[in-house]
Amino acid sequence: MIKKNKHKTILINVAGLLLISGMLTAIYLIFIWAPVDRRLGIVQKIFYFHVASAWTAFLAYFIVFVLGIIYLINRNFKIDLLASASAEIGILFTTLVLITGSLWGRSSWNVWWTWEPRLTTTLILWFIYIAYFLIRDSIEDPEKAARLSSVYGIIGFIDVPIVFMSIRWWRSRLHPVVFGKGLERNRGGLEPEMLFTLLFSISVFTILFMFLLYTSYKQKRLTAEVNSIKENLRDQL
Amino acid sequence: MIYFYATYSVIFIFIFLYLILINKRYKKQQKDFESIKEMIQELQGRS
Repeated sequence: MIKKNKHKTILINVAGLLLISGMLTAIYLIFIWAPVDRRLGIVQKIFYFHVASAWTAFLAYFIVFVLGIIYLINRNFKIDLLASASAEIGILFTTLVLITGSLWGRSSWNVWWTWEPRLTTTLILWFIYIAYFLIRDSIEDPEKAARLSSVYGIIGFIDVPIVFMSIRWWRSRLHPVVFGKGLERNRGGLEPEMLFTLLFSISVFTILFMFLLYTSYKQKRLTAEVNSIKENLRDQL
Repeated sequence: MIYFYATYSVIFIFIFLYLILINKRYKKQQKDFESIKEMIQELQGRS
């Protein structure tokens, strides 16, 4: 048991070091190494962490989706706690996507907000997962809350591919297609240095997500355990 | 330029705020542990 905990501590420390060095490298790549866009200027560099935040939010919701299915099969309470931790981080990063997107919009399009397909579907996504927590908190029975939020997490995930495909389906004039047929359409596509910086930022954000997920899950599990002990003691008193 | 710096500041501020929130929840649990200890002592006093 002690050996297992020691390994765990080493793993967390290594992940922490990897995260800090990765984040510093990402900042160096963005601020210094990556070329400045000829048309948009330095503001284009907002895009690296903006896209990385969006990726992290999608990953978080995908995990909520998968864990929701697993929970409905095996009814393991820890799985539900992990899903709720992931949804919480998903909300954090969707909030960041909306704020950084708004800053991007102000500098590039001269508006803070516009009802463009991707912005609208992202805002809907944010509301969907806010509702996820409203559902969880409004139901007193923990088993019922876990079951309903799992079903909701599975259904809510439908909006994620819609957000991703929105600029392709509704042919957005503002959001360029970065991946896929971006270069062919001559409206998106990236230079190799820009693509490398973006992929590096996405990798660092994935590590950050795992770190936050672990921390948040651990805290939620402790809260659940403390509450359960308190309930048992109250019954005895 | 200001939007560029604002973006990166906002991202780091929000991540730190989230970490502070988790830390705050941990502290609340420590308080809960104290109240559990008191409850156990009460139970032991009764028996």
